[in-house]
Amino acid sequence: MMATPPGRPRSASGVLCCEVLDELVVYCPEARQAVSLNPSARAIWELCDGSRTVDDICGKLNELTRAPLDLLRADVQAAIDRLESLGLLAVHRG
Amino acid sequence: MSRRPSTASSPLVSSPSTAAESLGIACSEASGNLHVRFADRVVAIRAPCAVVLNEVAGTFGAMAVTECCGRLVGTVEARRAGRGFTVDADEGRKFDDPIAVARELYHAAARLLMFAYDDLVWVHAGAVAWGGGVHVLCGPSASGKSTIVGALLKRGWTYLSDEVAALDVAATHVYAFPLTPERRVHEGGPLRDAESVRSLPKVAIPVDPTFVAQGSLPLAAIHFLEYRPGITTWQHEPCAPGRAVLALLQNSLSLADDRRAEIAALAQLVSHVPAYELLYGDANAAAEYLHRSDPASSPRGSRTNGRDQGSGSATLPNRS
Repeated sequence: MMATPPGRPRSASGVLCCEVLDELVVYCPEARQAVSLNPSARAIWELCDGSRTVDDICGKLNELTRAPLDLLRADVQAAIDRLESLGLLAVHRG
Repeated sequence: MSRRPSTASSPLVSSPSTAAESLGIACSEASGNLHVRFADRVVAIRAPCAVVLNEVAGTFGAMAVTECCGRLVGTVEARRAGRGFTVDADEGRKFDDPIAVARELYHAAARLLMFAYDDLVWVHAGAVAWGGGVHVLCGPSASGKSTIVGALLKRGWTYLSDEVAALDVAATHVYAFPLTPERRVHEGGPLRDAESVRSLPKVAIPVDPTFVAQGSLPLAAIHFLEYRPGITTWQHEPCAPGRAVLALLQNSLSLADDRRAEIAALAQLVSHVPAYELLYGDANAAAEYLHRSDPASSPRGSRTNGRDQGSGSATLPNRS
C-alpha cells in the first residue's frame, strides 16, 4: 500500500462509518471509540482521504461554504486533532 | 443490583431475615424448577432451594410460567457447594447469599433469551406504551427509568419493561420483557448525585396484569434520561441522530460481537423514530409532561434534527 504523504490526514485502519440521516457515526474497533459527526464535521471527515493537506481541506470547504479561511482553518484543525486523539484519524507527520 | 420484591406484592417470596437462616431452614426444602418465557422461547431454571426459586420468580414477574410453554432454549441451574451455591459451569465462583444466587440465575437466564433473539437490539431501558405506541426510556442505572415508568403506570400506561427494551428494528416494534418493576425509595430531601440514588433500597411496583403488554407494539419515541437531583426545571429537546446512536450503543445489552451490524441497525432505527433528551429533577413532573405531551407527533419517516448539537463521542465496553 502506498504510504500516505506527511500532513495529509486519513481515516485510521479498520474504522467503520455509518450514515444516520445527514450525520455520520464513525467507529474504531481497536480503540473502542465511537464518534458522531454533525454535517460540518462530516464534511471535514470526508475530505480526509490521505490526499489533502489541512490547507487543501480548508480551500475545498471555502469553495463549498464561502466561510472565511482563517475561521475554517481553526475549525478544521480542531476537528482533525480531536479525531486523531480518538484514534479515528491518522496524520503522518513526516 | 438487587431486585428484591416486597412480600406484600409478591406472595411467592418468603424472606428470611438472614442468609444463614435461609441456608439452614428454607434451603433444606426440595429443589424445584421454574420456567421464564419471552415471546415463544423458554428458559428453565433449577435451584435446590425454594427461597432462590421464589426470588427469581419474583424478579421475572409476568415472564415466569409454571410449565415449558414454548421452545426451550436452555437451562440454568444452581447447585449446592458446601454451605453455598455455584451456578452452572462457573464452579470457581461461590455464592453464600441466596439473593445473590437468584441474581446470577436471573442474569444467566436473561442472557440465554437474548442469545435466542440475537436479531433484536437489546437496550438497557424502560418501555411503556400509550395510545398503542411505545416510549422507550433509555439511561444508565439511577437515571430514573423505573421511577418514571412507575409514575406512568399510575396514569394508565401499558407496561413492557422497566429494565430491558427488546427492539425489532425491521418492524420498528418493541417486545415486552415484563420483569417485576422496581423503584428506589427515598423519603428525604433532594439527593446529591447519582451515586446517592444508586444506594437507595428498591421496592416492587404493583402492576395490574391487564396493563402488561403481550407480544410487541410499535415504537413511538426514544427518550434519553438525565437525572439532575435538585433542579427545578426540565428540558425535553430533540436528540441529534448521531448522538442518539451513541447513546443507544452506550446502553446496549446486546451480546453479539458484530458492532458494525449493531451500529447499522441503530442508525436505521434512529432514522425512523424520534429521539429526545430529557433532563429533569422530578420524576413525577417528567412523567406528567410525557403523559400530557405527544412528542411522537412527527410522522414516522420524517425526522428533524432540531438544533445542531455538535458532535459527540463514546468509548464502548469490551464484549468478552
